[in-house]
Amino acid sequence: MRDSKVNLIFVVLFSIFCIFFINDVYANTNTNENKTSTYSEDSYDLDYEPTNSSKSSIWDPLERLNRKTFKFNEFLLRNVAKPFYNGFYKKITTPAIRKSIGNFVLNLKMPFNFVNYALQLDFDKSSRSLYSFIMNTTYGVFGIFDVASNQGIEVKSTNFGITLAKYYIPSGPYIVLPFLGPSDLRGTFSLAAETAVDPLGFNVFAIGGDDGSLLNSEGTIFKVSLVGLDSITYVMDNFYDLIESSFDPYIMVRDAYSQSQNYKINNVKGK
Amino acid sequence: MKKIIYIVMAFFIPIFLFTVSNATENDDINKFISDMSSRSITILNNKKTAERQKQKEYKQFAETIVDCDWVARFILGTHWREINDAQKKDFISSYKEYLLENYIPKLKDYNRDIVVMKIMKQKDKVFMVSTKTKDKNNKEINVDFRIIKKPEGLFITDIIPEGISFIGNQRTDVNYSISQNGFDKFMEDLKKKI
Repeated sequence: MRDSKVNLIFVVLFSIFCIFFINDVYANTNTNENKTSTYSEDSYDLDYEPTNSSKSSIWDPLERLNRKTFKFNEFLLRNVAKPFYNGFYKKITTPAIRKSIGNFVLNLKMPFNFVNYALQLDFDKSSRSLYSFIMNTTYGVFGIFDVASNQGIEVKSTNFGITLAKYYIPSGPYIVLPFLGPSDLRGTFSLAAETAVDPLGFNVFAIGGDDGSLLNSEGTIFKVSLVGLDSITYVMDNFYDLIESSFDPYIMVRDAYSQSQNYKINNVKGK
Repeated sequence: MKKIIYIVMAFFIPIFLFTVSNATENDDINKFISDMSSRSITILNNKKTAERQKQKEYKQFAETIVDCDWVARFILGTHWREINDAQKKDFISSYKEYLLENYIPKLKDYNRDIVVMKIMKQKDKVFMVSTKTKDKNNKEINVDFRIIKKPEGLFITDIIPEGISFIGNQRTDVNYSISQNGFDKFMEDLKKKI
């Protein structure tokens, strides 16, 4: 009888201790307007390091050349793409039309996503890409409507560069491509390889061949035009203001590219 | 038998209390994200208000949910220690205006159909909240919010759409500019952008 009383007292005291301990921890994190603020400068955790932050890890031995190419691209963006987008394209198209063009372009990437995800051994995303391509090409009228997404089948784009990164192929130096923007040696190779095998892509490895033509087929111009329009829409809607408001747009874009690549590569490596 | 009951009680009561405490924290964060989304939608979809007024209201609202002072301090990194108090004061007030003018309006792009996926406690008062939301084209995107708990309430300190940390990117940009041209030239550029 005496033992059980002691045990009961122990449990009660232990619980009271726990309640006080947890309340104390919680009080430090909970909103309490009556409390005077103890949020001193010391409590700023300035050692925070964003997960995918490049920390200047990007290798940029071609910075001088890259800056010149970047200036050229920036010039085109400011003097050609912006007036075209705001003064013409946005006026003759509705958001729905621009979205349909985006859907169409995304659907053309699905066979590449299917292959790349399979090479990345992500068979779930690979089969989703295939399903999405079949559904959107048939029920979605050549990809104009994103039927698969409406069914909850969302697939994010990947590319051969990310596949190579999964197998520890290094990125190589940072490269700014004319018209196309930020990339690296691995990304540039990946782009050339995907373009070469794309029935609607450029004939990149046959320049100066028998017919000397850059075009794989008549559809190339059609595809490139739509990809161009979609890219202009994407950049103008999402990045133009950020580029304009940054202190050194080259550094801002390079860092954003680096963070984005790290994020995608970490995802395929399952980190 | 009683001993076993007491041991079980002693083991489970603290776990229960700890779970309740964590659940309350998570509820607060879920509510914060959901309130942010609904308030943004209410402001931006108000057909009675002119576009300019909407933007003004949105900035005022955003100022109450983003810890601009913390962001300003973080952005400056090690340069913070190299400047005097007057420069610090000038920088914080100018940067806050720059932030509200150029970056905070972007927050509205990450509010549509937002769903909290995971809440991770990084430190005592700091949480990383993973969400899924829809972009302008209704495509799903992952956006992480770094949220800090202060006595006055919850505040956003970083927005990370698809792995690109806003403040990480800003810090790289600002630090490069200061190290190349000095703090005074940077302040001159900052004031031009407001």
